[in-house]
Amino acid sequence: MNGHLSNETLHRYLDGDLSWEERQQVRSHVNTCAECRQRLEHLRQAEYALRQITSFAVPADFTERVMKRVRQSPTYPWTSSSVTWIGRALMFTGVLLLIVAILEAWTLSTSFSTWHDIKVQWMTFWTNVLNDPESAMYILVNLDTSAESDIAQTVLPLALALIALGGFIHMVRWITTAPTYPRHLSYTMDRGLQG
Amino acid sequence: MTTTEALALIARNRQTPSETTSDEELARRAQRGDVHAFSTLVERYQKSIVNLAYRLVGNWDTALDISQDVFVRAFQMLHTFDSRRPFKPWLYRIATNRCYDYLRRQGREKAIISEEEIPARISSPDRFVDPEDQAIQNEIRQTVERVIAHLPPRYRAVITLRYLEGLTYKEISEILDMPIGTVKTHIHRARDILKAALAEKGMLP
Repeated sequence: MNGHLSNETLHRYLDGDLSWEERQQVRSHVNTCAECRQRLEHLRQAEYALRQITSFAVPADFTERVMKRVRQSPTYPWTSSSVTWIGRALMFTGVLLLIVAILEAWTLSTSFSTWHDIKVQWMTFWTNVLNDPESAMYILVNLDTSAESDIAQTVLPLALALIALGGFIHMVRWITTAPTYPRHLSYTMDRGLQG
Repeated sequence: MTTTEALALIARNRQTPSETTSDEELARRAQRGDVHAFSTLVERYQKSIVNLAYRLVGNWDTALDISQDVFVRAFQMLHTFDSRRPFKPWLYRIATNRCYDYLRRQGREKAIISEEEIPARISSPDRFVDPEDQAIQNEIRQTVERVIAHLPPRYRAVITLRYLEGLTYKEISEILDMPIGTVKTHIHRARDILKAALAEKGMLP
């Protein structure tokens, strides 16, 4: 080979970027050419020196700090998951409707008018429930069949359906997501931040 | 999907992440709202990200703050992560972009690592160094750190990813969004400059 090796070739030799023939050419050249041998050796030293750079240790509380900010972040799952909130809203509406339906059916089936009547009715109801649980079951079972109200008949199934749907969505989300930050770790984090 | 498979899936989703759980699997779990999986990722990459940021912005405390931002931002952008692709380049890319943003805002694209920071950090390496070698090693490392400190940020990014993180040229080119040829040129240039610096100090045979 005539002339000296190019700087580029030496770098590529160090990178292992040359073909087998090119590598052989470089080797045979540096065997005979002292200047190129030294240049290659110096580049090798530089490469070795670059490999000496080390990373520095990170403060022990780094992850804690990051996770605290993650928990405050607007995309934190527990506060932002629309799925969870839809499930909860459905269940909440269902429970409200259920209460309305029971009250409605109860009011119509007993026909009282004054506040005193309501109290008497309430007391009687619970006395009956305590004395004879089966009669209470009878009242509840009969709510949607014997009540003279359309509301009780339409609202009650709707309420139950909403609760079931909300519960289902909640359950699906519970299954597909792993638990949120464990409580014991969370405690450590809070203590760490105070200290 | 059979019931057994479904139950196995549920069990796997709810188990605590272990050291052998892959980054992508953890990221996938984090995408579904598993914050514990995300904290495992933070623990795994905090050192790399902080050190990368430090080399880029040149100040340790700033690097710590930026790295926090990087992880919080990664968490917020998890929905954009495609879990069929490797997680590491995705995270490193957020980190380098964040650092470049910072440098641009600071209006000092050519920012250098301040001279007084180098010796302080070098004297407290996080791994054991044989005392006999320490003097010579420190000399070499100080020279290397000075040379790196005076390189432009993009060079520093390439050097850090190559020599601290041990990434391949291809990975670096993907993270930094530059052609492989440019990555190589940057490495070669850094080697040349370091060679000259070492020669000047008479540290080459």
